[in-house]
Amino acid sequence: MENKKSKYIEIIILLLLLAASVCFLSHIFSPENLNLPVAINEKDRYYESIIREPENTIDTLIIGNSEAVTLVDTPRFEKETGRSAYSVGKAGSSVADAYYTLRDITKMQDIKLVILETDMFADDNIDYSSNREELKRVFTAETEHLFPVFRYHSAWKILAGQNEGYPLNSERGYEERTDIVPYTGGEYMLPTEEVSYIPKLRVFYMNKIVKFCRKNDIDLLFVSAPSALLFNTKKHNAVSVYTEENNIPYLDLNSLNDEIGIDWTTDTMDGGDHVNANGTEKVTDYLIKCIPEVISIK
Amino acid sequence: MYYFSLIFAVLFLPAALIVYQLLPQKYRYIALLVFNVIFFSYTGMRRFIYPLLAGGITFFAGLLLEYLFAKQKEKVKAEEDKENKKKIKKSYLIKTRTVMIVSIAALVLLILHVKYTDFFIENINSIAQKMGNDHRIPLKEFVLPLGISFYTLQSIGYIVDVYWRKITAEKNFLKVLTYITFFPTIMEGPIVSFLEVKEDLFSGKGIVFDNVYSGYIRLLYGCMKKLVIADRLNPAVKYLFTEIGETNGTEVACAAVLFTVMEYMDFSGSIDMVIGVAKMFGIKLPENFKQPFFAKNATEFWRRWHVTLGVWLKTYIFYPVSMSGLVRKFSKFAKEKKLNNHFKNMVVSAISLLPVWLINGLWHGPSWTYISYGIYYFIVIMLELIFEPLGDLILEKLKTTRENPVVTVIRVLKNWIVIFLGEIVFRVSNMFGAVVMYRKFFTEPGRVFSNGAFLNWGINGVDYVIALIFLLVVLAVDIWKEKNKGELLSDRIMLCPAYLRVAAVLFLAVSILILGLYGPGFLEVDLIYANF
Repeated sequence: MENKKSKYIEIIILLLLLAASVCFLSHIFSPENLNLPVAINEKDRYYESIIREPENTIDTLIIGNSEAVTLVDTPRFEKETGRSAYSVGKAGSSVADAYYTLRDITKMQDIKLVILETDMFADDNIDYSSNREELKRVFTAETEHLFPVFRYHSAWKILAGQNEGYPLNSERGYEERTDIVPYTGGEYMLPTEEVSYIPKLRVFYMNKIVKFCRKNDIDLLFVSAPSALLFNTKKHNAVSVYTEENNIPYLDLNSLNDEIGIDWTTDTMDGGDHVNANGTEKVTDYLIKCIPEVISIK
Repeated sequence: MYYFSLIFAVLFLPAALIVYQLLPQKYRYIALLVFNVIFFSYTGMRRFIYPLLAGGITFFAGLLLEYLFAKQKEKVKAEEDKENKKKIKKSYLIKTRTVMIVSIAALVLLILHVKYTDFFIENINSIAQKMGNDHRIPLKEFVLPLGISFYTLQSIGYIVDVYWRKITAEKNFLKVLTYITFFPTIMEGPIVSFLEVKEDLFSGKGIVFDNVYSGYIRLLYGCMKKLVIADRLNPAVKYLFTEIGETNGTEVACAAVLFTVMEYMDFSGSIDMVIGVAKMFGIKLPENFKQPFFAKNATEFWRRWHVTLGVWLKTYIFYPVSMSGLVRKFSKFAKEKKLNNHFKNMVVSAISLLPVWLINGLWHGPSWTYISYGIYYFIVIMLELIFEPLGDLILEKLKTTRENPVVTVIRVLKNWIVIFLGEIVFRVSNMFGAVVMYRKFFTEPGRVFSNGAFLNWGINGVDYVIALIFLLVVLAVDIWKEKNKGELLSDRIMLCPAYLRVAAVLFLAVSILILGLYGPGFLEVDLIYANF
C-alpha cells in the first residue's frame, strides 16, 4: 500500500515537472518572446512578421493557406483603399490553425475585415478530406497553440548560429512572384451539382471563426483564389452552401476569370496552382473594386 | 498514425488503455480489436479487406485442420486393424497437408498480388523490350496495405503451428483478427507467434501501473532514437544515396555507415515503442534486437538483428528444408560415396540456407536490390562456414582462441565491414546504383573530412555532434544490456530510486521536445520497415 502510494506521488510529481517544463519551454520558444530578427519557420514567416508590426496599425487581414499568400498585393490595396491589409497565409494551414492565427492577431491589431481564402476549407485532397485526418490537424493546431514549443522548438538552431532562419516580410505579407509557368489544362470549372465533402471538425472550426468575427464586430468575406489546378465546381458548391447557410458574402474568383482578366498562360507561377504577380495585380484590382459592393466595411 | 506522433502518445494510446481497462476482463480483447481497426483506418478503411481476408483464411484453415485431426482420431480409434489405421493416418496426412498448402498458397497469392505484381510486370516488360517487343503491360500501382508483410508471416506461422499441433486452432474469429492486426505490431513487427502472445492477448489482465510507467519510458526511448538520431541523419543518407555520381569512395563508405546507424535507430527505436506500448496492456512481446553490433560474424548478427524474422525463417523455412527429402537423399548419397564431412555439411547448409535468404530478401520488397541483399548474406554466411576450419587452424598456429579480446574486437570490426557493405545494396534504389557505389568504394578513395565535404550533405556540424552524443547514450544502454543478458532496462529502471526514473523521463522528454525533428519545416520521415 505504502509502495503504491509513493508510486502515485512519484507520477504526480513527474507529470507536474513535465507540464512545468513544457510551459517554461513554450514561454522561452514563443516568437513573441524570442523576438529574433528572422522568422523561425518558413511556413510562419508572415505570422512571425505581423507580430512585429506596431499595435493597431492593421485593419484588414487575409488568412488561409498558400493560396492566401499570393492573393492580394497588400501595399497597393492600402494605397488604393486607405485600408491597411496584411496577408498571413500559411502553407498547408488548417482551419483550426487559421482560427488561432486570427485570435492571436486580434489581440494586437484592431481588425475590421477578414478576407478568408477558402482552399483550406474546401480542400478535398484525399490526404486531408477525412475526419480522421482532420482530427490530426486539429490536434496539432491545438497543441501548438497551447504549447508553442511544439511549433517553434527549432529556434535553438538560430540561437546557436546553426541556422539563419527565414527573412521577415516587410511588405505586409506580400511578395512579388514573377515566375511564369503556364497552365494548359483548359476549362476547369465544369458544371456539376456535386458538392465536396468537408469534414465536420473543419466545419466546427470554421464556425468558430465566423462566431469570433461576429462577436468582435469583424466583417468576414470568403474568397476563392484563382487556382486552375486545385479549384473546381464541387468545391465552389461546398463553399456556397456554407456561406449561404451562414449569410457570409462569397467571391469565387475562379468563376470570374474572364471578368478579372486572368490569363492562365501568363498569370500563374506554377502551372495553375497559384497566381503570380500578374495574376495578383488583377485580383487586387478586382477586390479593390468589388469589396465595397459586397460588404459594408466599417 | 505513427507510434512517435503526439496524437498517438497522448490521445490514441490513453484512450485505448482506458477503454481496455473499463471493459470486463472477458471482453478486453474486443477493445484491442476496435483500436486495431481505428489505427488501421488511418491508412484507409478500404484496405482493411486484406487483413480481413488473411484473418479469414487463417481462421478457417485452423478450424478445418482441427476438424480433420478430430475425424482422424475418431476413425483410427474405431479401426482395429493396424494396416487400416496406417492407411487412415496417411489419407488424413494428405488431407491436412493439402489444407495447409492451399491456405498458405492463398495467403502468399494475396501478398504477391498487392506487393509483387508490379515487380513481375516490370521484369516482363524489360525482357520483352530486350527481345524487341515494345508493348508494355501497364503497372497496377497498388498501395501496399499496412502491415501485410508482417501479418502474412504470422498467419502462415499460425497455420503451420496448427498443422504441427504446436497449438490448437482458435475458435473465435475475432481473436484471430485481433492477433494479426494487433496495432502495436502491425506496422513494424516484431513477428510474433500465436503461442507467444495468446495468453497475454486474450486473458484480459488489467492495466498495471508499473507496466504503463515502464512502457511509456520505453516509448520515449524509442522516440528519442527515431526523432533525435535517425531522422537527423536522414538528409545526409538521402543525399549520398541519391547523388551517387557526385560522390567518391570515402563518401560511399560514409553513406553505408550513416544508413546502417540510421536504420538501426529507426527500426530498433520503433520496436522499443512497440514493445513499450504492448507492455502497457500487459502483453509481453519478444525482443527484436539483441545488440547486433556486438556480433562477431554474420550468422550471429542475424541472431541479434530483426530476431523475430530470423526465428520465423528458421522455424518455417530452414528446418523444414533441412528435414526435406532432398537433404535426406543427399546425406544418404554423401554417406555412400564417403564424401568429406565438411563438404557434406556445406552442401546441406547451402540447400537449407538458399531459400531462407532468398525469402529474406524478397520479403523486404519487390526489388532486385533486396533479392541481392538476401543473396549477399547467403554468400557471406556460406563463406564463413567454409573457412571456419581455416580460421581455427590460424588461431591454433597463433596459439590463441576466438574468445581472446583482441581476436574478438577484430572479428566484430570485420563483421561491421560485412554489415556496412550489405547495407549499400539494401538502401540503394536500383542495381545499377549499387554497382556504381561498390566500384567507387573499392576504386575511388577521396577526401571527406579534411575538406569539410561531410558538412555539405544536408546536415551541419551541430547535428553530427547531437547525433553522436545520443548515439553514445544508446551505446551505453546496449553495453549494459549485453552485460546483463536477458534483463530489460525498462524493468530495471522500475527498481531504481524514484528521482533517477523521473530524471530519465525528463531527460528523454525534453530532448525529444527540443532536439527532435518534427513540426513545421520537417517532413515526417517514414519508418523504414513500415514500407516493407
